[in-house]
Amino acid sequence: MMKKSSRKYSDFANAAAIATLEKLIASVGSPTEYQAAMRELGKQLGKIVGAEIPSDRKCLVVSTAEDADYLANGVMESVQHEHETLAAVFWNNHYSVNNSSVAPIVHQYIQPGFESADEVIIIKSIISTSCVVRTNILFLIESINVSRIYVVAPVMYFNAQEALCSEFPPHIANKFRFVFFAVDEDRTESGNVVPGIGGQVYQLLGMDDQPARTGYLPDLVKRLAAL
Amino acid sequence: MDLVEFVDASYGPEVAKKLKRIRTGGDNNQKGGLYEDFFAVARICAIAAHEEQLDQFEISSQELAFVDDLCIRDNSQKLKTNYQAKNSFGSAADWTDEIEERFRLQSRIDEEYFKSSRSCQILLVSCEATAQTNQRKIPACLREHCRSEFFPYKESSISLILEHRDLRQDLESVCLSRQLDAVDSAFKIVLGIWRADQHPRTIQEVFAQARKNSKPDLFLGLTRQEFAVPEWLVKKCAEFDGIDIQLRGGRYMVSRNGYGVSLPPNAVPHQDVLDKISTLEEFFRFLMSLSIPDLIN
Repeated sequence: MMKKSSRKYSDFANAAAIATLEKLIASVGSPTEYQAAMRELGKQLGKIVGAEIPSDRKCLVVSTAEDADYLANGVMESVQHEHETLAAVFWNNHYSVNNSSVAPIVHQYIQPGFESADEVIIIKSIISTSCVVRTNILFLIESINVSRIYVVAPVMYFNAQEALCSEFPPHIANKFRFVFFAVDEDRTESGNVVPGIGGQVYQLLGMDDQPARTGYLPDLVKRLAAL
Repeated sequence: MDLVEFVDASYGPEVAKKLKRIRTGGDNNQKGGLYEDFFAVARICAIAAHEEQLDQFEISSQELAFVDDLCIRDNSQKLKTNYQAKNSFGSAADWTDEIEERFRLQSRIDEEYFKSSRSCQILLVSCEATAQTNQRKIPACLREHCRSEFFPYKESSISLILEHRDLRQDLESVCLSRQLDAVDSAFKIVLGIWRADQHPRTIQEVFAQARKNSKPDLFLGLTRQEFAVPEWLVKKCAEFDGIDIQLRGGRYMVSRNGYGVSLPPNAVPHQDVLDKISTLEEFFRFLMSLSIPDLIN
Protein backbone atom coordinates (compact mmCIF):
# COMPACT_ATOMS: atom_id res chain seq x y z
CA MET A 1 0.00 0.00 0.00
CA MET A 2 1.31 3.38 -0.92
CA LYS A 3 1.33 5.81 1.97
CA LYS A 4 0.81 9.52 1.61
CA SER A 5 4.10 11.03 0.49
CA SER A 6 6.14 13.50 2.48
CA ARG A 7 9.27 15.20 1.22
CA LYS A 8 11.85 17.42 2.83
CA TYR A 9 14.35 19.46 0.86
CA SER A 10 17.94 19.83 1.95
CA ASP A 11 19.82 23.12 2.27
CA PHE A 12 21.45 22.32 -1.10
CA ALA A 13 18.10 22.49 -2.89
CA ASN A 14 17.61 25.93 -4.42
CA ALA A 15 14.58 26.87 -6.52
CA ALA A 16 16.20 25.53 -9.70
CA ALA A 17 16.94 22.13 -8.10
CA ILE A 18 13.39 21.83 -6.78
CA ALA A 19 12.04 22.71 -10.23
CA THR A 20 14.24 20.05 -11.84
CA LEU A 21 13.09 17.43 -9.33
CA GLU A 22 9.50 18.29 -10.21
CA LYS A 23 10.36 18.11 -13.90
CA LEU A 24 11.87 14.67 -13.32
CA ILE A 25 8.64 13.34 -11.81
CA ALA A 26 6.64 15.01 -14.57
CA SER A 27 8.80 13.19 -17.15
CA VAL A 28 7.79 9.72 -16.00
CA GLY A 29 6.76 7.86 -19.13
CA SER A 30 8.94 9.99 -21.44
CA PRO A 31 12.46 8.50 -21.25
CA THR A 32 14.15 11.21 -23.33
CA GLU A 33 12.81 13.98 -21.08
CA TYR A 34 13.56 11.92 -18.00
CA GLN A 35 17.16 11.43 -19.16
CA ALA A 36 17.50 15.18 -19.71
CA ALA A 37 16.11 15.96 -16.25
CA MET A 38 18.56 13.50 -14.68
CA ARG A 39 21.44 15.10 -16.56
CA GLU A 40 20.33 18.52 -15.35
CA LEU A 41 20.12 17.30 -11.76
CA GLY A 42 23.65 15.94 -12.20
CA LYS A 43 24.89 19.34 -13.37
CA GLN A 44 23.28 21.03 -10.38
CA LEU A 45 24.68 18.51 -7.91
CA GLY A 46 28.09 18.65 -9.61
CA LYS A 47 28.23 22.42 -9.18
CA ILE A 48 27.73 22.04 -5.42
CA VAL A 49 30.33 19.28 -5.08
CA GLY A 50 32.80 20.97 -7.40
CA ALA A 51 32.59 24.19 -5.38
CA GLU A 52 33.56 22.32 -2.21
CA ILE A 53 36.67 20.74 -3.68
CA PRO A 54 39.88 22.76 -4.20
CA SER A 55 40.71 22.99 -7.90
CA ASP A 56 44.06 21.21 -7.59
CA ARG A 57 42.35 18.01 -6.45
CA LYS A 58 41.81 15.11 -8.83
CA CYS A 59 38.26 13.72 -8.70
CA LEU A 60 37.02 10.21 -9.45
CA VAL A 61 33.33 10.19 -10.37
CA VAL A 62 31.85 6.75 -9.70
CA SER A 63 28.47 5.66 -10.99
CA THR A 64 26.37 2.69 -11.95
CA ALA A 65 26.04 1.83 -15.64
CA GLU A 66 22.44 3.09 -15.73
CA ASP A 67 23.40 6.49 -14.33
CA ALA A 68 26.59 6.92 -16.37
CA ASP A 69 25.20 8.79 -19.38
CA TYR A 70 22.68 10.87 -17.45
CA LEU A 71 23.17 11.79 -13.79
CA ALA A 72 26.92 11.06 -13.75
CA ASN A 73 27.40 12.75 -17.10
CA GLY A 74 25.87 15.92 -15.66
CA VAL A 75 27.97 15.75 -12.51
CA MET A 76 31.14 15.28 -14.56
CA GLU A 77 30.26 18.17 -16.82
CA SER A 78 30.15 20.50 -13.81
CA VAL A 79 33.05 19.05 -11.83
CA GLN A 80 35.49 18.96 -14.74
CA HIS A 81 35.19 22.73 -15.26
CA GLU A 82 37.58 23.19 -12.35
CA HIS A 83 39.03 19.74 -11.72
CA GLU A 84 40.85 16.95 -13.39
CA THR A 85 38.13 14.29 -13.45
CA LEU A 86 38.24 10.56 -13.99
CA ALA A 87 35.35 8.12 -14.25
CA ALA A 88 34.45 4.70 -12.91
CA VAL A 89 31.33 2.78 -13.90
CA PHE A 90 30.03 -0.39 -12.32
CA TRP A 91 27.50 -2.92 -13.55
CA ASN A 92 25.96 -4.12 -10.27
CA ASN A 93 23.51 -6.98 -10.12
CA HIS A 94 21.24 -5.70 -7.37
CA TYR A 95 18.82 -8.17 -5.80
CA SER A 96 17.42 -9.34 -2.49
CA VAL A 97 17.74 -12.78 -1.03
CA ASN A 98 16.82 -13.99 2.48
CA ASN A 99 15.78 -10.45 3.45
CA SER A 100 19.21 -9.18 2.56
CA SER A 101 20.15 -6.88 -0.29
CA VAL A 102 23.31 -7.52 -2.31
CA ALA A 103 24.71 -5.86 -5.43
CA PRO A 104 27.81 -7.71 -6.64
CA ILE A 105 29.79 -6.01 -9.39
CA VAL A 106 29.70 -7.96 -12.63
CA HIS A 107 31.52 -5.67 -15.08
CA GLN A 108 33.45 -2.46 -14.55
CA TYR A 109 35.05 0.52 -16.19
CA ILE A 110 37.77 2.26 -14.22
CA GLN A 111 39.68 4.98 -15.95
CA PRO A 112 43.43 4.33 -15.84
CA GLY A 113 45.13 6.51 -13.23
CA PHE A 114 42.19 6.31 -10.80
CA GLU A 115 44.54 5.29 -7.97
CA SER A 116 45.89 8.85 -7.81
CA ALA A 117 42.46 10.44 -7.25
CA ASP A 118 42.22 12.76 -4.24
CA GLU A 119 38.43 12.80 -3.95
CA VAL A 120 35.80 10.20 -4.76
CA ILE A 121 32.33 11.27 -5.86
CA ILE A 122 29.84 8.40 -5.73
CA ILE A 123 26.77 9.07 -7.85
CA LYS A 124 23.41 7.32 -7.56
CA SER A 125 20.02 8.36 -8.90
CA ILE A 126 18.41 7.43 -5.57
CA ILE A 127 19.82 6.07 -2.33
CA SER A 128 17.41 3.84 -0.49
CA THR A 129 18.96 0.67 0.94
CA SER A 130 22.40 2.05 -0.02
CA CYS A 131 23.48 -1.46 -0.98
CA VAL A 132 24.86 -0.46 -4.39
CA VAL A 133 26.70 2.55 -2.98
CA ARG A 134 28.16 0.42 -0.21
CA THR A 135 29.42 -2.20 -2.70
CA ASN A 136 30.99 0.35 -5.01
CA ILE A 137 32.74 2.11 -2.14
CA LEU A 138 34.08 -1.25 -0.98
CA PHE A 139 35.47 -1.94 -4.44
CA LEU A 140 37.54 1.24 -4.35
CA ILE A 141 38.36 1.82 -0.72
CA GLU A 142 41.48 -0.33 -0.57
CA SER A 143 42.89 0.90 -3.90
CA ILE A 144 42.83 4.62 -3.30
CA ASN A 145 43.62 6.92 -0.44
CA VAL A 146 41.18 9.81 -0.56
CA SER A 147 40.38 12.51 1.93
CA ARG A 148 36.66 12.64 1.21
CA ILE A 149 34.02 10.41 -0.29
CA TYR A 150 31.11 12.44 -1.61
CA VAL A 151 27.87 10.47 -1.76
CA VAL A 152 25.70 12.32 -4.24
CA ALA A 153 22.08 11.70 -5.17
CA PRO A 154 19.06 13.85 -6.09
CA VAL A 155 16.90 11.96 -3.56
CA MET A 156 17.63 9.87 -0.49
CA TYR A 157 15.45 7.75 1.75
CA PHE A 158 15.24 9.33 5.20
CA ASN A 159 17.53 6.96 7.10
CA ALA A 160 19.86 6.04 4.24
CA GLN A 161 22.62 8.37 5.42
CA GLU A 162 22.78 6.90 8.93
CA ALA A 163 22.39 3.38 7.59
CA LEU A 164 25.30 3.75 5.19
CA CYS A 165 27.56 5.31 7.83
CA SER A 166 26.74 2.55 10.32
CA GLU A 167 27.93 -0.08 7.83
CA PHE A 168 31.47 1.30 7.79
CA PRO A 169 34.06 1.67 10.53
CA PRO A 170 34.46 5.30 11.67
CA HIS A 171 37.77 5.88 9.87
CA ILE A 172 35.91 5.35 6.57
CA ALA A 173 32.47 6.72 7.51
CA ASN A 174 34.09 9.96 8.68
CA LYS A 175 35.13 10.61 5.08
CA PHE A 176 31.54 10.59 3.82
CA ARG A 177 29.95 13.85 2.77
CA PHE A 178 26.36 13.60 1.59
CA VAL A 179 25.08 15.94 -1.10
CA PHE A 180 21.39 15.57 -2.02
CA PHE A 181 18.35 17.69 -2.74
CA ALA A 182 15.46 15.84 -1.15
CA VAL A 183 14.70 13.29 1.53
CA ASP A 184 11.60 11.11 1.30
CA GLU A 185 10.18 9.19 4.22
CA ASP A 186 7.85 6.81 2.42
CA ARG A 187 8.44 3.58 0.60
CA THR A 188 6.02 1.26 -1.16
CA GLU A 189 5.83 -2.37 -0.09
CA SER A 190 7.99 -3.25 -3.08
CA GLY A 191 10.66 -0.87 -1.78
CA ASN A 192 10.28 2.12 -4.12
CA VAL A 193 10.78 5.45 -2.38
CA VAL A 194 7.79 7.78 -2.78
CA PRO A 195 7.80 10.17 -4.57
CA GLY A 196 11.53 9.44 -4.95
CA ILE A 197 12.53 9.63 -8.59
CA GLY A 198 9.16 8.41 -9.83
CA GLY A 199 9.75 4.65 -9.76
CA GLN A 200 12.38 2.18 -10.99
CA VAL A 201 15.14 4.14 -12.72
CA TYR A 202 15.85 1.52 -15.41
CA GLN A 203 12.44 1.68 -17.04
CA LEU A 204 12.19 5.43 -16.52
CA LEU A 205 15.44 5.92 -18.42
CA GLY A 206 14.15 3.67 -21.20
CA MET A 207 16.04 0.49 -20.25
CA ASP A 208 14.45 -2.94 -19.99
CA ASP A 209 16.21 -3.97 -16.80
CA GLN A 210 19.45 -3.52 -14.87
CA PRO A 211 22.38 -3.01 -17.29
CA ALA A 212 24.18 -6.14 -16.04
CA ARG A 213 21.13 -8.16 -17.07
CA THR A 214 20.74 -6.59 -20.51
CA GLY A 215 24.32 -5.92 -21.63
CA TYR A 216 23.68 -2.17 -21.79
CA LEU A 217 26.83 -0.24 -22.65
CA PRO A 218 26.91 3.48 -21.76
CA ASP A 219 28.27 5.92 -24.32
CA LEU A 220 30.62 7.26 -21.64
CA VAL A 221 32.37 3.89 -21.44
CA LYS A 222 32.41 3.45 -25.21
CA ARG A 223 34.15 6.79 -25.53
CA LEU A 224 36.62 6.44 -22.65
CA ALA A 225 37.57 2.84 -23.46
CA ALA A 226 37.88 3.76 -27.15
CA LEU A 227 35.68 0.92 -28.35
CA MET B 1 14.44 -42.24 24.54
CA ASP B 2 14.68 -38.53 23.70
CA LEU B 3 17.32 -36.25 25.18
CA VAL B 4 15.13 -34.77 27.95
CA GLU B 5 14.14 -38.25 29.07
CA PHE B 6 17.76 -39.30 28.97
CA VAL B 7 18.84 -36.32 31.10
CA ASP B 8 15.95 -36.88 33.52
CA ALA B 9 16.83 -40.54 33.94
CA SER B 10 20.59 -40.03 34.09
CA TYR B 11 21.03 -36.76 36.03
CA GLY B 12 17.68 -36.15 37.71
CA PRO B 13 14.47 -34.15 37.07
CA GLU B 14 15.95 -30.82 38.25
CA VAL B 15 18.70 -31.00 35.64
CA ALA B 16 16.15 -31.93 32.96
CA LYS B 17 14.02 -28.91 33.92
CA LYS B 18 17.06 -26.68 33.70
CA LEU B 19 17.84 -27.99 30.23
CA LYS B 20 14.32 -27.10 29.02
CA ARG B 21 14.64 -23.60 30.54
CA ILE B 22 17.90 -23.03 28.68
CA ARG B 23 16.20 -23.99 25.45
CA THR B 24 13.42 -21.45 26.06
CA GLY B 25 15.95 -18.72 26.82
CA GLY B 26 17.84 -19.63 23.68
CA ASP B 27 14.72 -19.25 21.57
CA ASN B 28 14.02 -15.83 23.08
CA ASN B 29 17.49 -14.55 22.41
CA GLN B 30 17.53 -15.66 18.80
CA LYS B 31 16.53 -12.28 17.41
CA GLY B 32 19.36 -10.40 19.07
CA GLY B 33 22.02 -12.79 17.96
CA LEU B 34 24.12 -10.65 15.60
CA TYR B 35 27.25 -11.64 17.47
CA GLU B 36 26.42 -15.35 17.31
CA ASP B 37 25.37 -15.07 13.65
CA PHE B 38 28.59 -13.36 12.60
CA PHE B 39 30.60 -15.98 14.47
CA ALA B 40 28.63 -18.81 12.85
CA VAL B 41 29.33 -17.39 9.40
CA ALA B 42 33.01 -17.02 10.28
CA ARG B 43 33.12 -20.70 11.31
CA ILE B 44 31.25 -21.79 8.18
CA CYS B 45 33.76 -19.92 6.02
CA ALA B 46 36.74 -21.25 8.00
CA ILE B 47 35.60 -24.84 7.51
CA ALA B 48 34.98 -24.23 3.81
CA ALA B 49 38.40 -22.66 3.37
CA HIS B 50 40.39 -25.29 5.26
CA GLU B 51 38.57 -28.60 5.01
CA GLU B 52 38.11 -30.96 2.09
CA GLN B 53 34.97 -32.94 2.96
CA LEU B 54 32.37 -30.29 3.60
CA ASP B 55 29.62 -32.90 3.71
CA GLN B 56 31.14 -34.25 6.93
CA PHE B 57 30.72 -31.00 8.86
CA GLU B 58 27.33 -30.18 10.31
CA ILE B 59 26.33 -26.89 11.90
CA SER B 60 23.28 -25.91 13.93
CA SER B 61 22.10 -23.54 16.61
CA GLN B 62 19.80 -23.65 19.60
CA GLU B 63 19.72 -27.39 19.83
CA LEU B 64 18.40 -28.79 23.09
CA ALA B 65 21.66 -28.58 25.00
CA PHE B 66 23.42 -27.06 28.00
CA VAL B 67 25.83 -25.32 25.63
CA ASP B 68 23.46 -24.28 22.91
CA ASP B 69 24.45 -21.19 20.92
CA LEU B 70 26.27 -23.07 18.19
CA CYS B 71 27.09 -26.70 17.56
CA ILE B 72 29.54 -27.97 14.96
CA ARG B 73 29.91 -31.68 14.32
CA ASP B 74 32.80 -33.20 12.42
CA ASN B 75 31.14 -36.51 11.63
CA SER B 76 34.26 -38.04 10.09
CA GLN B 77 36.01 -37.81 13.46
CA LYS B 78 32.93 -37.94 15.71
CA LEU B 79 34.00 -34.59 17.07
CA LYS B 80 31.35 -32.29 18.54
CA THR B 81 32.11 -28.67 19.40
CA ASN B 82 29.60 -26.51 21.25
CA TYR B 83 29.77 -22.78 21.80
CA GLN B 84 28.15 -20.55 24.39
CA ALA B 85 28.46 -16.96 23.20
CA LYS B 86 28.58 -13.96 25.54
CA ASN B 87 28.75 -10.62 23.84
CA SER B 88 29.58 -8.60 26.91
CA PHE B 89 32.45 -6.65 28.40
CA GLY B 90 30.92 -7.17 31.85
CA SER B 91 30.57 -10.05 34.24
CA ALA B 92 28.00 -11.76 32.01
CA ALA B 93 30.94 -13.11 29.99
CA ASP B 94 32.76 -14.53 33.02
CA TRP B 95 33.48 -18.16 33.60
CA THR B 96 31.18 -19.02 36.52
CA ASP B 97 30.20 -22.05 38.52
CA GLU B 98 26.99 -22.22 36.54
CA ILE B 99 28.81 -22.21 33.20
CA GLU B 100 31.18 -24.82 34.54
CA GLU B 101 28.31 -27.06 35.56
CA ARG B 102 26.64 -26.65 32.16
CA PHE B 103 29.88 -27.42 30.34
CA ARG B 104 30.45 -30.52 32.48
CA LEU B 105 26.93 -31.77 31.78
CA GLN B 106 27.23 -31.06 28.07
CA SER B 107 30.50 -32.98 27.90
CA ARG B 108 28.82 -35.96 29.52
CA ILE B 109 25.83 -35.75 27.17
CA ASP B 110 28.11 -35.57 24.13
CA GLU B 111 30.00 -38.59 25.29
CA GLU B 112 27.19 -40.71 26.74
CA TYR B 113 24.19 -39.76 24.59
CA PHE B 114 25.70 -38.62 21.30
CA LYS B 115 28.61 -41.09 21.55
CA SER B 116 31.09 -38.47 20.39
CA SER B 117 34.66 -39.68 20.49
CA ARG B 118 35.69 -36.15 21.38
CA SER B 119 33.73 -33.10 22.44
CA CYS B 120 34.69 -29.55 23.17
CA GLN B 121 32.79 -26.79 25.01
CA ILE B 122 33.79 -23.24 24.26
CA LEU B 123 32.81 -20.04 26.06
CA LEU B 124 32.98 -17.45 23.29
CA VAL B 125 33.42 -13.88 24.47
CA SER B 126 33.76 -10.50 22.77
CA CYS B 127 36.38 -9.17 25.19
CA GLU B 128 39.90 -10.47 24.64
CA ALA B 129 40.98 -9.88 28.26
CA THR B 130 37.92 -11.74 29.56
CA ALA B 131 38.77 -14.71 27.34
CA GLN B 132 42.24 -14.87 28.90
CA THR B 133 40.89 -14.48 32.45
CA ASN B 134 38.28 -17.15 31.79
CA GLN B 135 40.91 -19.47 30.43
CA ARG B 136 42.83 -19.22 33.70
CA LYS B 137 39.67 -19.92 35.73
CA ILE B 138 38.88 -23.18 33.95
CA PRO B 139 39.92 -26.08 36.22
CA ALA B 140 42.89 -28.01 34.91
CA CYS B 141 40.88 -31.21 34.73
CA LEU B 142 38.43 -29.56 32.28
CA ARG B 143 40.90 -27.78 30.03
CA GLU B 144 41.16 -30.64 27.59
CA HIS B 145 37.47 -30.28 26.77
CA CYS B 146 36.60 -26.71 27.74
CA ARG B 147 38.06 -23.34 26.87
CA SER B 148 37.22 -19.69 26.42
CA GLU B 149 37.86 -18.00 23.09
CA PHE B 150 37.74 -14.44 21.85
CA PHE B 151 35.75 -13.34 18.82
CA PRO B 152 35.26 -9.60 18.24
CA TYR B 153 31.81 -8.04 18.19
CA LYS B 154 31.24 -5.68 15.28
CA GLU B 155 27.99 -4.08 14.26
CA SER B 156 28.60 -4.52 10.55
CA SER B 157 30.07 -7.20 8.33
CA ILE B 158 32.45 -4.69 6.74
CA SER B 159 33.99 -3.78 10.10
CA LEU B 160 34.32 -7.45 11.01
CA ILE B 161 35.92 -8.44 7.70
CA LEU B 162 38.33 -5.51 7.84
CA GLU B 163 39.40 -6.32 11.38
CA HIS B 164 39.35 -10.12 11.43
CA ARG B 165 42.29 -11.19 9.30
CA ASP B 166 41.48 -14.92 9.43
CA LEU B 167 37.90 -14.36 8.32
CA ARG B 168 39.07 -12.13 5.47
CA GLN B 169 41.54 -14.77 4.30
CA ASP B 170 38.95 -17.53 4.54
CA LEU B 171 36.48 -15.50 2.49
CA GLU B 172 39.17 -14.72 -0.07
CA SER B 173 39.89 -18.41 -0.39
CA VAL B 174 36.21 -19.30 -0.78
CA CYS B 175 35.67 -16.50 -3.33
CA LEU B 176 39.05 -16.74 -5.11
CA SER B 177 39.08 -12.97 -4.81
CA ARG B 178 40.81 -10.39 -2.66
CA GLN B 179 38.23 -7.75 -3.53
CA LEU B 180 36.51 -6.39 -0.43
CA ASP B 181 33.20 -5.86 -2.25
CA ALA B 182 33.12 -9.49 -3.41
CA VAL B 183 33.97 -11.04 -0.03
CA ASP B 184 31.48 -8.77 1.73
CA SER B 185 28.70 -9.79 -0.66
CA ALA B 186 29.64 -13.45 -0.13
CA PHE B 187 29.51 -12.95 3.64
CA LYS B 188 26.04 -11.38 3.39
CA ILE B 189 24.74 -14.23 1.26
CA VAL B 190 25.97 -16.88 3.72
CA LEU B 191 24.64 -14.83 6.64
CA GLY B 192 21.21 -14.71 5.01
CA ILE B 193 21.19 -18.49 4.59
CA TRP B 194 22.28 -19.04 8.17
CA ARG B 195 19.66 -16.68 9.56
CA ALA B 196 16.90 -18.22 7.48
CA ASP B 197 17.41 -21.69 8.93
CA GLN B 198 19.63 -22.86 11.79
CA HIS B 199 18.57 -26.47 11.89
CA PRO B 200 21.38 -28.99 11.50
CA ARG B 201 22.82 -29.11 7.99
CA THR B 202 26.18 -29.70 6.43
CA ILE B 203 28.58 -27.00 5.32
CA GLN B 204 28.26 -28.46 1.84
CA GLU B 205 24.51 -27.83 1.95
CA VAL B 206 25.05 -24.26 3.16
CA PHE B 207 27.34 -23.49 0.23
CA ALA B 208 25.16 -25.30 -2.28
CA GLN B 209 22.44 -22.84 -1.28
CA ALA B 210 24.90 -19.93 -1.24
CA ARG B 211 26.01 -20.66 -4.81
CA LYS B 212 22.37 -20.87 -5.86
CA ASN B 213 21.61 -17.52 -4.20
CA SER B 214 24.70 -15.83 -5.60
CA LYS B 215 24.27 -14.09 -8.96
CA PRO B 216 26.94 -14.29 -10.25
CA ASP B 217 28.47 -17.20 -8.37
CA LEU B 218 30.88 -15.61 -5.88
CA PHE B 219 31.93 -18.94 -4.41
CA LEU B 220 34.05 -20.36 -7.21
CA GLY B 221 36.92 -21.05 -4.82
CA LEU B 222 34.91 -24.04 -3.61
CA THR B 223 34.91 -25.71 -7.00
CA ARG B 224 38.63 -26.36 -6.54
CA GLN B 225 39.02 -26.69 -10.26
CA GLU B 226 41.98 -25.72 -12.39
CA PHE B 227 41.22 -22.64 -14.43
CA ALA B 228 42.69 -22.25 -17.89
CA VAL B 229 41.67 -19.52 -20.29
CA PRO B 230 39.60 -21.24 -23.01
CA GLU B 231 41.09 -21.36 -26.46
CA TRP B 232 38.15 -19.63 -28.14
CA LEU B 233 38.65 -16.61 -25.88
CA VAL B 234 42.41 -16.39 -26.41
CA LYS B 235 41.90 -16.69 -30.17
CA LYS B 236 39.14 -14.09 -30.40
CA CYS B 237 40.96 -11.59 -28.16
CA ALA B 238 44.03 -11.90 -30.38
CA GLU B 239 42.01 -10.40 -33.25
CA PHE B 240 41.96 -7.03 -31.43
CA ASP B 241 44.66 -4.78 -29.99
CA GLY B 242 45.11 -4.00 -26.31
CA ILE B 243 42.98 -6.75 -24.78
CA ASP B 244 44.02 -8.41 -21.57
CA ILE B 245 42.55 -11.57 -19.98
CA GLN B 246 42.80 -12.18 -16.25
CA LEU B 247 41.30 -14.65 -13.83
CA ARG B 248 39.31 -12.84 -11.15
CA GLY B 249 37.04 -14.51 -8.64
CA GLY B 250 37.11 -17.68 -10.72
CA ARG B 251 35.74 -15.77 -13.72
CA TYR B 252 37.57 -14.46 -16.75
CA MET B 253 37.96 -10.71 -16.87
CA VAL B 254 38.51 -9.42 -20.38
CA SER B 255 39.80 -5.84 -20.26
CA ARG B 256 40.69 -2.97 -22.50
CA ASN B 257 41.57 0.59 -21.44
CA GLY B 258 40.04 0.09 -18.00
CA TYR B 259 36.83 -1.55 -19.24
CA GLY B 260 36.56 -5.06 -17.83
CA VAL B 261 33.87 -7.60 -18.67
CA SER B 262 33.70 -10.76 -16.61
CA LEU B 263 32.36 -14.01 -17.92
CA PRO B 264 31.70 -17.34 -16.29
CA PRO B 265 34.37 -20.04 -16.61
CA ASN B 266 32.02 -22.43 -18.36
CA ALA B 267 30.88 -20.07 -21.13
CA VAL B 268 31.11 -21.80 -24.51
CA PRO B 269 29.79 -19.67 -27.38
CA HIS B 270 28.92 -20.94 -30.84
CA GLN B 271 31.73 -20.52 -33.33
CA ASP B 272 29.45 -19.06 -35.98
CA VAL B 273 28.38 -16.32 -33.54
CA LEU B 274 32.03 -15.57 -32.77
CA ASP B 275 32.90 -15.44 -36.45
CA LYS B 276 30.35 -12.71 -37.07
CA ILE B 277 31.95 -10.40 -34.49
CA SER B 278 34.25 -7.93 -36.17
CA THR B 279 34.43 -4.82 -33.96
CA LEU B 280 35.58 -4.21 -30.42
CA GLU B 281 32.17 -2.93 -29.41
CA GLU B 282 30.45 -6.00 -30.80
CA PHE B 283 32.94 -8.21 -29.01
CA PHE B 284 32.49 -6.58 -25.60
CA ARG B 285 28.72 -6.50 -25.98
CA PHE B 286 28.83 -10.20 -26.81
CA LEU B 287 31.03 -10.95 -23.77
CA MET B 288 28.58 -9.09 -21.52
CA SER B 289 25.74 -11.18 -22.91
CA LEU B 290 27.51 -14.38 -21.82
CA SER B 291 27.09 -13.37 -18.15
CA ILE B 292 23.38 -12.68 -18.33
CA PRO B 293 22.12 -16.27 -17.75
CA ASP B 294 24.10 -16.40 -14.48
CA LEU B 295 22.34 -13.27 -13.24
CA ILE B 296 18.74 -14.03 -14.00
CA ASN B 297 18.33 -17.79 -13.49
